[in-house]
Amino acid sequence: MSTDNVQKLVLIAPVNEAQTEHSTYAPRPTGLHGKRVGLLDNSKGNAGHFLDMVAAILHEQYGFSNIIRHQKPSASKPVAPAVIEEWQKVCDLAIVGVGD
Amino acid sequence: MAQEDDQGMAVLEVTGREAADPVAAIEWCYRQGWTDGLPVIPPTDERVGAFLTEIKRNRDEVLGGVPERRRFVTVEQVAANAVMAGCLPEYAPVVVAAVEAILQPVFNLVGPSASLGGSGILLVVHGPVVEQLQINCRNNLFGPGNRANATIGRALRLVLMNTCAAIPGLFDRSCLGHPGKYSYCIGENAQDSPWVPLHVERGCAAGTSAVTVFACEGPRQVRNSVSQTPEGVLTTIADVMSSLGTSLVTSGSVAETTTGTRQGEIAVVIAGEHMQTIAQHGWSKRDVRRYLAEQARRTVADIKRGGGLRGEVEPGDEQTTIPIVAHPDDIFIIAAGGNEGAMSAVIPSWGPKVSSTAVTWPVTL
Repeated sequence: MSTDNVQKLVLIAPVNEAQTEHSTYAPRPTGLHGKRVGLLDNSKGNAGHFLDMVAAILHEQYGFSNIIRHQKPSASKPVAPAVIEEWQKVCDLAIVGVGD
Repeated sequence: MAQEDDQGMAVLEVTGREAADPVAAIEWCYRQGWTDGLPVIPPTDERVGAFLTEIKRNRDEVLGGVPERRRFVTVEQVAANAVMAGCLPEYAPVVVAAVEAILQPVFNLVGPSASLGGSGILLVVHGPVVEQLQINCRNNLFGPGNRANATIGRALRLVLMNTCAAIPGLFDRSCLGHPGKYSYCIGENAQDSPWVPLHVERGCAAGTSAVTVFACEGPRQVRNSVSQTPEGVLTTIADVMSSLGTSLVTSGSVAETTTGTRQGEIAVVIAGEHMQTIAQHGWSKRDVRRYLAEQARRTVADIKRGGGLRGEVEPGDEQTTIPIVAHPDDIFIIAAGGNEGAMSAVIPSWGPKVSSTAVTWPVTL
């Protein structure tokens, strides 16, 4: 490559950026009493145990009106869209349990 | 600084020493974080354009994505990464097919590209394109020395890193990884095989070309130069398939626990002499799969002692066995490797089928 006649190298970007413009936070709950909560078990070995303890604390200390549990088929699988859609209707908030 | 030119391409203009000196340009690519640790060919608009010509698709077309990471992959980005990997333009359709395959939902790329389990993605190329592109399917199958294998496999890894955020230390959390994460591409040897090619077994028409992608561990060589019967050769292969410590002979991370262990998929690459021994006795691939599925199992006691299941060994555990795979079709028989030498290879999947299943996808030439 000659140094005399090459002044500019035009490259095509091999990278992309995360498209986060459609991601937003859900509104924060203003209080916990009487709320409906979903507990999502990611199927790791201790996730269920962790969520059992969380459920006990929620029940005893915060007076949740309803606790719904769901276990993913595999830790590495995203939660099924149908579950998210259902929880939007039946839960006020959700807690994800991760345990290994 | 990236910007879009009047044709919508994301272009970067580099001036100064990097524009004049090829080595300086490569160093510039290193500084952008674009490489796998090895030098790359700078993806100039001219070089990428040659690939786009071969692909015959709109450069802005989105091939798929990793929605959990908000990443979406375009034809142009795949072409740029293929250039960087050292591919020839005629390899482009195979690279594009491989990218489309790993972005299918059942492959669940977010799992194997992130897991501690250290998955590589084996890319098996099938059909006439193997000979057309001189993709190696014989001696030194998993080793170096052939441009198509080395660069096509590398292109897939660069796509993962540069467009799917599978960056070591960021989303790629492998504990060990393996050398196949640099490049892991082989051809299926249809020419010397007595069997139906894998992609035809998996639904592609005979005479067409395709790729199969498989999230998996590294290959474990199986040597048996004594046995002259299918049962003898396959007994050795079945024993390696059922080794303690693989992803399949373990438990956890899945909701379904009926069988005790996680039930995944496993590839068995059978090279020349083993292939001849098995085929000379009239065994089809189906016969091989059935035999291996039956033989590849361990006792509950063994698996407990090896840490694949929790608990103490109990009465009956020495007699109770667990198969490594749930169904014979979860074993992929691939004819490939040198014609001389009584070797095969066993490649367990990275995880259970519910986490990722292999995908076979057509190559459009």
